[in-house]
Amino acid sequence: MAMAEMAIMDRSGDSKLIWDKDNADEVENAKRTFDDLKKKGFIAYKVEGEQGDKGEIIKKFDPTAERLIMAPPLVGG
Amino acid sequence: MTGDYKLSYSTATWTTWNTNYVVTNSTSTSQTVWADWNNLYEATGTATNSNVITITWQSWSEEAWTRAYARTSAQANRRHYYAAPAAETEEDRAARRARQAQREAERAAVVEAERQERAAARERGRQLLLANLSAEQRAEYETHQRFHIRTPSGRRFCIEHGRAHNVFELDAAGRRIREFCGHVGEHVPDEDNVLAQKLLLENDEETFIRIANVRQLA
Repeated sequence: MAMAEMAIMDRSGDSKLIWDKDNADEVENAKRTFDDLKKKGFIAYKVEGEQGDKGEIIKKFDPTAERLIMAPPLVGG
Repeated sequence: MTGDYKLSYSTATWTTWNTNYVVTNSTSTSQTVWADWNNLYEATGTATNSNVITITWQSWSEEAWTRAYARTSAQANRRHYYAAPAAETEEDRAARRARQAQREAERAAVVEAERQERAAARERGRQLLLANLSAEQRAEYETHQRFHIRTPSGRRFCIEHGRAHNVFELDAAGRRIREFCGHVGEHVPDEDNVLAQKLLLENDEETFIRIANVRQLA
C-alpha cells in the first residue's frame, strides 16, 4: 500500500488528505480535490526528497506524487 | 409673601394676577394672591394675615392636589405611566446576578475555545513548515524566527516569521537591500504564510517579485 499525502493550507493550519495510490477511487478523489483547489487559484507543489528541497510547481495532478502542498495564492501587501 | 414684595414692580404683578382672577377679598397684596388661589380651589378658610399660608397649603393639600389629579383620566394615566417601577427584591437581584454570571461564563468559554483553536492551527502550521526546511533553516527559525534561502537566480533572501513586510533581499555582504510584501490572501497561520512565500520564491521568483510590493532599503 503506497500512501500519498496532500497538505492543504487553511485556517486550521493545514488539512491533510491521504490516499492509497493503488486505490483508484481514492486517487480519483484526490485528483478531484486537486482540481477544485487549482480552480480557486491554489498553487500546487510536489515535494520529494530531503527536507528543505524546494520541490516543483505542478499544474496537473500527478498520481505518482508522494507529497503535495497546496498553497493559497499570494497577493501584494 | 411679606412686606418685602410691596415694591412697585411686584405690586403691579400681583395686582394683575389678582385682577385676572377676580379677587373677591383683599387686605394686602400678598394676601390677595393667596386668597385668589384659595378661591380657585374653594378654600373654606377666611383669608387673614395670619391664616393665608395655612389656608393655601390646606387648600393645596386637600383640594387642589386631589382636584388637579382627578380632573382628567389622562392626567391620572400619566401619573400611572410615570409611576416608579417596583423595587428589586433580594431574590430578583440574586437571579439577575446569576444570569449575568452565566452570560459571562459562556462568553469566556467561547473566547477560550477560539484561543485554543488558533493555538492548534499555529502548531499545525509550524509542523508543516519545519517539515519543509533544511536542518540549518530549521535551527535558525527556531532560534531567531527567520531563515535564509537562495533562489535559482542566485539571489539570497531572508524570510522572517510574520505575515507582511517580512521578506528581504540581501546583497553579497548580507545587508538587506529590498523589502517585499507579498502574502497569502486567505486567513492562514503565519507559519503557513512563511512556507508559501518560501515555496513561491524558490519555484517562481519572478511571479513573487511581480506580485509583491517592493521597498528599496539601501
